[in-house]
Amino acid sequence: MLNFILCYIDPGSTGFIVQIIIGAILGVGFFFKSIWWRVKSLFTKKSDNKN
Amino acid sequence: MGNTKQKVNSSFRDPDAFVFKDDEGVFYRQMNTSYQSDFELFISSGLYQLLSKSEKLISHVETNDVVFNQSTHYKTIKPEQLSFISYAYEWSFDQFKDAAMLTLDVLKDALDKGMILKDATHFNIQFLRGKPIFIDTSSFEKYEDGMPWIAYRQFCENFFGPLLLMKYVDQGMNKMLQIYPDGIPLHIVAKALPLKSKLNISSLLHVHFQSSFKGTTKSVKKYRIQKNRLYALIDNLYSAISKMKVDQSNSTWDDYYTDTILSKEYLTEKTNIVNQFINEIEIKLALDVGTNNGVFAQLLASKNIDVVAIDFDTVCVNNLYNTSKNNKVKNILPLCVDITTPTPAIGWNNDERSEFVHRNKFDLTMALALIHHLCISKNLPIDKVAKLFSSFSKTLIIEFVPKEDEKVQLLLNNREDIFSNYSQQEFETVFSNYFQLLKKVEIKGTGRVLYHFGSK
Repeated sequence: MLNFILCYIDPGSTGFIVQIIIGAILGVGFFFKSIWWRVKSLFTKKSDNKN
Repeated sequence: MGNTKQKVNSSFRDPDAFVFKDDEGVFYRQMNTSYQSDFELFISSGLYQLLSKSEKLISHVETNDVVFNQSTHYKTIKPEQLSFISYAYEWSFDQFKDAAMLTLDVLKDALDKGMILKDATHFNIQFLRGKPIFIDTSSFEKYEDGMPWIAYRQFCENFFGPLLLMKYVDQGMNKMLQIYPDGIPLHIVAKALPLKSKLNISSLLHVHFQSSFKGTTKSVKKYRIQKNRLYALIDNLYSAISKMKVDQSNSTWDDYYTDTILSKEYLTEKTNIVNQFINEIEIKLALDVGTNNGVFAQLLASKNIDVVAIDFDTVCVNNLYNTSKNNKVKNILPLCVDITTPTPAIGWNNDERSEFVHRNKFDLTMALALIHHLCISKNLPIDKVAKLFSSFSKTLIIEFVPKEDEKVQLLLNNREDIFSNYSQQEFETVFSNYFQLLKKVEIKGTGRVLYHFGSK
């Protein structure tokens, strides 16, 4: 019976659940990282203009 | 174009499109009507233009007059043709790493243009001009706001997990993909990884944490993930992969040329003779067996020849890949293949992915300082070696290493000499059964002889 059920479990389905959890965890860090990128790009643009 | 068309054995799972070839060996991809709306978006969004221009995706021309199946036909495209197909279980660490990063790059570009990758198999990647390239033009679908990435787990099992195994366990661990072509199951990856891999946040989350989930029979279609969190997921995988490194020392052949008394003069003399041989014939595609540090593969490449350079030593292959990349040599494809046990055919009916030795015909095979390893280390009769080479190659440049040679003596040091048939005379007679002897030149002062054989 157990094996029969296992055959119908889609291991890919966990990918949906897991990425929602992991996405939420990583999302926080990514938020700050994106701000850092924006700040950095401002300075890069400025120095480019000078050049 | 020829009249007979044949569906490619590896292309039958996707109802939206398939690959076929004509009797001249030219490959086409037929898009079916079910893929029409996604393909229109793929073009109109500018995604195709963006990806093909940056050589992340194979470019194509539309050839709608070439049709395989009229009833489902929407479009036919003729992609740029590849000179040789390779598989992820033949790549070295950095080839694998670049392929994984390319997949994430393509995914990010797709999301930027309102599309997403519907699969993330390693079979979507090939090598062209020294770089990985995405070849499945029908892998893109419209991104609906909030939809999760359906291929996330597949990416982890096809790329991230195998890369972690290559980094933490052994550089040859990607060979496991021969047994698990759909991706190495994450619970196996998690079990094989050392404890310290849990200290890395990416491997902890994407492998260890994910592998503890068993899957469900319930529908998960209603689940949603914000787009910025999807970007966060991709960014985390990308940066984890880009930081991965492996030990580049400890190659079997590291000091082959520097360690030997044969060294410099031997190498110069050998280069001159090989040069003379290859200038006499027209070669488009060559195979360098036991390529070592790739000196002779580079010689062929400098003559505008596409070279597949194989060695069982994964470190050597990785070094050659990186050297070629740094020197912008675009026509060498280094692969981890052991000629004594070449990649087998795998998949459905054992012919979905082809075996190495019959994947292509080569105009030239080069086997330098190799014969003694085959015949003495591996006990292979000379006849079997000649027969194998003649099965996939029109011509051959091969170096005979006599029994008196210091390297052969090294091999015989700790074993009984049971190789009474291993002689230059026997070698010449046997190879002449399969090839036509064109020329032989002795490498001065070494006793070694270079042979040039043509097809019979």
